[in-house]
Amino acid sequence: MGKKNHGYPRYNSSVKGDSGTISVDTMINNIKNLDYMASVFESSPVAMICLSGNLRVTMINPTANELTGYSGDYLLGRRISVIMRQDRVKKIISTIRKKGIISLNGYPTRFENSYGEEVPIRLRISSMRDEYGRIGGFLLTAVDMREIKALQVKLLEAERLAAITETAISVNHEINNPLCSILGNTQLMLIENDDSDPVMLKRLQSIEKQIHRIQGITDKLGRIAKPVLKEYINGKKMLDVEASTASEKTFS
Amino acid sequence: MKGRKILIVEDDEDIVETLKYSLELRGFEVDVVYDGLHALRKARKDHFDLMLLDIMLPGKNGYEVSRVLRDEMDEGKIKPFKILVLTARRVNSAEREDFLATWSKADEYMYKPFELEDLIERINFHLGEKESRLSKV
Repeated sequence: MGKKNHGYPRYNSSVKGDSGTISVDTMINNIKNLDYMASVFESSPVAMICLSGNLRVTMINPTANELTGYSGDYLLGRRISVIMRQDRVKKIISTIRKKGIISLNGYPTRFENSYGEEVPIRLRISSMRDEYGRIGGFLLTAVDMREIKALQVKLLEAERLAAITETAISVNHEINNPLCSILGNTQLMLIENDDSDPVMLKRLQSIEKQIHRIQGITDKLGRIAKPVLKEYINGKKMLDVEASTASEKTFS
Repeated sequence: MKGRKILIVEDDEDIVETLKYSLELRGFEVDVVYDGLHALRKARKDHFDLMLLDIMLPGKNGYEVSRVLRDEMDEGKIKPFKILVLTARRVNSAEREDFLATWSKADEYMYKPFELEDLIERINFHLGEKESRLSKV
């Protein structure tokens, strides 16, 4: 995209000399400074949009073009309402005007891009003032929150899996103590009833067998390396104990 | 086994009752304390041949109790005895488990729930006894 697409010529109107007469050297310096600023504006990884006092787009950088899906040519001169709800911006600008502050930071909101999708952004609005302190326009800088939100989802998932691991290990510990008592008593009763009631003997052996089964499960719970979930019912998920303990790697 | 003294250090009364009954049935003299600090006092005051030591104890945990007592045995402050740790705690890292076992200087670790037969066998092993009255389950 060429400079024209981003509306750079418009800021030339703000180039003024002290007395209205500008020397050639001063003009060259001003142009160099403006070129430098244009370069910063164009290469910024943050989406930047300049608005006039009546909230019309006066400049837009390539990152903002990409984020909104609109070209600079399309947006220049249009109201900000093309890409976001005007009341969202107006609310912040009204606060800036009333309180006389330079900028308001970290306002989470959304752009509506050219494909009709809502793009979550963190918006900063700064007032652009002239030499007398009068507000001549606003600079909107927007950070795309989609990647951050995706990372937050991954982080939440990691925290959830870590919590599952801790719970599984706690369950293993909490069950093993009472299980120790049940197994011990069952085995004592087996020894003491060795030659007596065969029905009682069979029942005690059944209890002992089931205790060993629980023991096998708690042992696996205590050895969880990386929790793996599987479908249960009604969209609920359950821990796949076998798959979770398959790896020897430790979960840290 | 007659005359052999065992100190059970365990805060779960049901487990204590089962262990005490099983050991007394085999002729051991059994004493019981329910927390780590009492275990230290008891072991310094009376002599035992073997200590059955839980890990998750009130007062002082089993790892610390074992290490303190082993150091005192090495310094000749108390008469040596065997320490057999019984734990329901399994950490999910073999390296960490090995580290804690080494650090505590206990003679052996057994994980709950354990077979009574296995416990008796290990006690006899540490006390230099070959005999076991129970058959393998």
